[in-house]
Amino acid sequence: MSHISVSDLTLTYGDTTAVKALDLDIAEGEALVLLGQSGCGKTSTMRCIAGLETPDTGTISVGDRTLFDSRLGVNRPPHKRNIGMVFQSYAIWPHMTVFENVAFSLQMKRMNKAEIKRKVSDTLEIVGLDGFADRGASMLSGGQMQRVALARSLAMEPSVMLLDEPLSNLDARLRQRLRGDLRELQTRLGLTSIYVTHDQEEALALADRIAMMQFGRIVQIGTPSEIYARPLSASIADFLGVTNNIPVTALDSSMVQLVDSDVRLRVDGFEYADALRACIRAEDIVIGDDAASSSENVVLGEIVTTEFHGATASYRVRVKGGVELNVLGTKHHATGLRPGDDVSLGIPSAAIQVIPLDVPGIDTAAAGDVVPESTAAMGVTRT
Amino acid sequence: MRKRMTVGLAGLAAASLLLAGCSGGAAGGSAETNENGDLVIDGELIASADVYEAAQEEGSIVFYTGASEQSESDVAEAFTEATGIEIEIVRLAPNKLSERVLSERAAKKLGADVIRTSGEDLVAGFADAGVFEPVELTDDISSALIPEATYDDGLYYSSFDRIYSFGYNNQVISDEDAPKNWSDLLDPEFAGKSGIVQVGAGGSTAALTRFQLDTLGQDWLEAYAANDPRIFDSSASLTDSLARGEIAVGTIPVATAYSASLDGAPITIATPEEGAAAYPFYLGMSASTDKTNAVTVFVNWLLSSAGQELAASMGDYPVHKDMPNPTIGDVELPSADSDFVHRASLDESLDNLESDAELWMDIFGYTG
Amino acid sequence: MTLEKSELTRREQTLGRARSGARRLTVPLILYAVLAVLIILPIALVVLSAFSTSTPRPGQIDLVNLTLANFSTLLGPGVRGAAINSLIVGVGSSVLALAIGSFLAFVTARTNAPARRFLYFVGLVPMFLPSYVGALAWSLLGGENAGLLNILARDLGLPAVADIYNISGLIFILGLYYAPYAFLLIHSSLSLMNPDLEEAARVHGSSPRTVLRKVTFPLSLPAILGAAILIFTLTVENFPVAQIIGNAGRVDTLPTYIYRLMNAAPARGNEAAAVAIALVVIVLIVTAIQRRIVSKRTYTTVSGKGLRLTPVNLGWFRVPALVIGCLYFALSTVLPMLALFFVTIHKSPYVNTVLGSFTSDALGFDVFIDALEDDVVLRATVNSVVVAIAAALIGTLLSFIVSYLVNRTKVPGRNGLGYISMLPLAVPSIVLGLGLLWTWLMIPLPVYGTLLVLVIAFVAAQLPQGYQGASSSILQIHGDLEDSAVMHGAGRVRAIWKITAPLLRVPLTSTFLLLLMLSMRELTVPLFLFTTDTRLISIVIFDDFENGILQRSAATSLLYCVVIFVLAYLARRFGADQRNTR
Repeated sequence: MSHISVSDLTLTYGDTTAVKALDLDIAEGEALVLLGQSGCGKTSTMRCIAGLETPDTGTISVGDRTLFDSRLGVNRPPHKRNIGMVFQSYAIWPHMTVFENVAFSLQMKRMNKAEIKRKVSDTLEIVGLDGFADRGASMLSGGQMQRVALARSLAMEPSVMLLDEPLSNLDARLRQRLRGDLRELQTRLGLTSIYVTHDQEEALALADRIAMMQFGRIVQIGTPSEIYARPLSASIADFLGVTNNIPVTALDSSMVQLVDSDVRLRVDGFEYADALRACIRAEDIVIGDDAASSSENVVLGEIVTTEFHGATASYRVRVKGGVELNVLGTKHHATGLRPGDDVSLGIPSAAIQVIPLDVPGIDTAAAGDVVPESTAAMGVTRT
Repeated sequence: MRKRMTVGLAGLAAASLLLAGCSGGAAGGSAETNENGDLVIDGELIASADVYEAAQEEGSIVFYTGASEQSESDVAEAFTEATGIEIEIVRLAPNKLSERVLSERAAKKLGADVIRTSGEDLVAGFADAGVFEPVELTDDISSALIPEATYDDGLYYSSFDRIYSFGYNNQVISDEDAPKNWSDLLDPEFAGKSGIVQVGAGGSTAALTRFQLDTLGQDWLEAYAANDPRIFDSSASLTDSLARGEIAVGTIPVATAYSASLDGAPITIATPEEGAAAYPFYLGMSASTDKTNAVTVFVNWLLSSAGQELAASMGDYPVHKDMPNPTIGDVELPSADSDFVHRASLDESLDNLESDAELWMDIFGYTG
Repeated sequence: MTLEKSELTRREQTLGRARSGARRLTVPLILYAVLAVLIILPIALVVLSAFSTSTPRPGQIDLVNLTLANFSTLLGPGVRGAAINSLIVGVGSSVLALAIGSFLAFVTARTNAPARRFLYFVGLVPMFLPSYVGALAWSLLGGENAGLLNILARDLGLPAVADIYNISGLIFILGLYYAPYAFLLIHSSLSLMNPDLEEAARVHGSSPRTVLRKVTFPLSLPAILGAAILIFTLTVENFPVAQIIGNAGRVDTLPTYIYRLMNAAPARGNEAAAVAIALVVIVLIVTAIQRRIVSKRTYTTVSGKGLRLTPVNLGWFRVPALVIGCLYFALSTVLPMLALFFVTIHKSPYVNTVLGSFTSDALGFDVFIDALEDDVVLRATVNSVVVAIAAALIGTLLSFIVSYLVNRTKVPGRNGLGYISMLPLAVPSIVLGLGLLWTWLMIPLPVYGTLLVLVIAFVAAQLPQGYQGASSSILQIHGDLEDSAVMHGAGRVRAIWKITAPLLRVPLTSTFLLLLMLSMRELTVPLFLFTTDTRLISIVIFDDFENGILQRSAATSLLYCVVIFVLAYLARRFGADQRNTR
């Protein structure tokens, strides 16, 4: 049994609150991604679960073991929690060989030598590093280090795996490949895992469920497709790659007007809130001749810039009232359109989500004051 | 090689010269005990058998002294020769010695078994702080002492009067140019080549200043200051500079300079007509010693004719009755009651101490 | 979940929190206590006695008779003169040291001068010579009447060439022996500079000379300023050189003034404390100025990669540059060593002729052998080595613990520990020594008069250097490495032992060696603390000098230099070997 249960978790550093009354349940074998900008409290949450930070209040339990309970004064030290952790920097001990790194937790458990040897070589095989056992750890490439870090944690047969930005130190191509490997390994071994990342693509690929964090709180939790399809606020949408988040005012239950403009958009219905935004994905806007035929809303504008990507092209279009929209078109459009050209844009009402800027109740005032997350690479220090 | 041999021989000769003072009974013998086992030297009982035996058991003693390292090591050598008891010397200028003793005493860490220093104020400070414990003198010794040598009913003693005179480097200054009297020191030829020890160094400099103000007059001191003398922190470092020729003339304690000259320093000591300052070196047993017997033997020996003759042979005035006048080499100093010896009483010293020091610092433009 | 929240009583909750809180505070509280005794108490006693009428002694600490009278000493001409002299000496010797140091640094780091490795050695070596040994040697060399240089000049029929016993002499010697600090700091700044910055200037049309003036020099300015302030504080608080040279030349500085007040009969400790506070204030002001200047100029120019920089072509100046380097070597090292050696083997303390000595039978090794066989010297040597090793070990350990707490944990009050550790830097050695004396006389533990009190004093005095060394090495190592070990089943202490400590072996070894060297050289701090049985070799040299046993002092100095050079050599080898192990 290794489901994780966190409740009422609060962590402060002096005057700043890193994690605020956070509740979280993770099922056994589930992969949960804590997603958010740096400083949102995701790494702090993870470090609380690991035991590297001592929360002010709350309880943390894994299975039926209570790891932390502020009211009971329970605080199991990190080395007795049996939680595996892959650090962002990998934290591979440079003065040891690959074998020594992976064998560390087993030696700590005073396992006998033959068994350690067997276990280490099994684990190295799982992560695809067989034959690397005697390699000095400082001689490894980034991808290999990541695998050693993984193997080192796997070897201890942890009840839970924590992975802090496990792919951010790798180059783009490698990242993609290892992402697949990681997902495959996690499902195959049925590991209860928590990932921390600020990369939405990574989160979508790795997660069974994503917990969006802002300002020390979980603002939305759900499957990747739920979150992708229905962000609860414009700032979440922005983080998930929605590039058009336009301030609007509600006219009636199916019509909004852009702020400082007389452009009106028909929408599919929304809930009233103070600061509403119309969030539209760039790829959902139709540009050019097809605009009028395909959409309920047609807006006229002037192309400001164009950017050719190969298969696609993106445009910045200034519409009446000065609002600029980002539009993703196909390569066919690219040939015809130049800066200064007038174009019409078609926006289907289904593509427009009218949502508040922020999820109600979060304390945006704390923004920027939060202790920075460990985004540091090896050799750089946490301040 | 040959040269080294001669130096060795010269050293031996010097040592035997020093030992001559105590060679009356059995020169060089380590334990001169009579049939009872008492330590008797030159017919004087230094220590009874039980004290002497216990002293031997106690082993070496630590001797804090404000007198010069060279003269005291000669004394220690002679004492060890006579009794077999080792002496470990800790030499500090009296002012530093005082601070050290008081600090250590207060911390119950006083390392000294026996202490010798000049400076009336310093020794009075020791007595006040309970540094001393009376030593039991044998009847022979106590009856032989001059009455002025005993202080505070025997809490401590004066062990000799040292003479503060002046000297010159005989390789820098030829005999015919040599200064004979204090007045000669004012010669402009010594400008920038003379030295003096700062007034606060200890009882020695206080006594010298008293003598200079009293006998030579403030004018003399001012004239000496006008020659731009180098000012030293201790007579030891002045003696060294004089020996090296860094300065050509300087005020020096006779015994300090004499023992340096025995070690080869080219210093000639003057016996000026105007006289010279005498100042006592006080001697007392540390209250924190656990070697009472060895210290008792040492103090008795220092005050005995053997110890006192040795002092006299180094140019110090004995406190033992019927002792010869001190000598420096071939030169015999005038008798203790002559005009040569200017000795202030304890009260006189203490009364003038501060005002003299202030005046001196003023004259020499010395701050501190 | 084993327990329902509602079952808990409030009392249990508070107990639980209090327990974990107390555990968190144990270690910092112990460290605060240790640092309070090591550093705060000595400083507090100095301050207290500056306002008191009685010098602190056991059972004689006086809070009643508070007075400002001691500070009237400060208004006297003596202190004013001493303060002015201190400033002149500090500024003068800093300028001289900077000139020598930056010249050698530039020549060795950035030019095509011949024999640059030798010049590097030349720039470094005087660092290992304690400044008072240098002063001692120069007092033998440069005395107006009997200085060996002047005697030699007389032998050759020349007029006297040197007179060291004055304020210029003092500046000269301090400048000579503090130049290596400037050399090291500026050298590393010059050689670690990112070459891109200079090349960018070349590409944008600057001549090599302009690059030096417009880029290189401004970029190394922080290092130069840092060195200037460091040297200024070190020379202003330098006691032994001022005592040896200045005393004879009647040039008082604040440290010698304090020493004299302490050694007056009776000791004027309270006034000494007042003067000490004036000295601390000067040092603090200068340090504050430095912080202001340097904080405005933190350029991140240093690449740290040690990339090859294009050497500056010195042209015709190549040989003169080498000659200047050799001259410095002669003045700082060769002549002083020769002087010590000559005086040691000269049979008579009086040297009539230098050249003549070699032809007559004036030389012999008796004094030297006597000194080497002397019990006092031998015991002092053993004491020095024992104290230095113990102080370096304890100092490294304490520094490591403090900087670990400051840099790696979130325990409350950790920053205060860091500040206290740096405090001795602002307190001149002679003041710290005074405070330590009073502290350990007062504390009712049998420590005064043992080697332990010297170890304690060295640990306190050198904590800033140790703390800086340990901190910079801890900061080189990412905290994840240790956390990772904890996550993999090692307790915190075990993780430090298995991961952090091994990774820090090399930098901590160099911290240890630095502290060892500093302890071996230190004279001023133990000056008030030693007793007969606990004399150190530095104390013996100084005492012998003060007691006029100059030949033994010189002989001991030579022995001392040999010990220090051997230690330094071992340190370099040892350090270098360690770097190669992985």
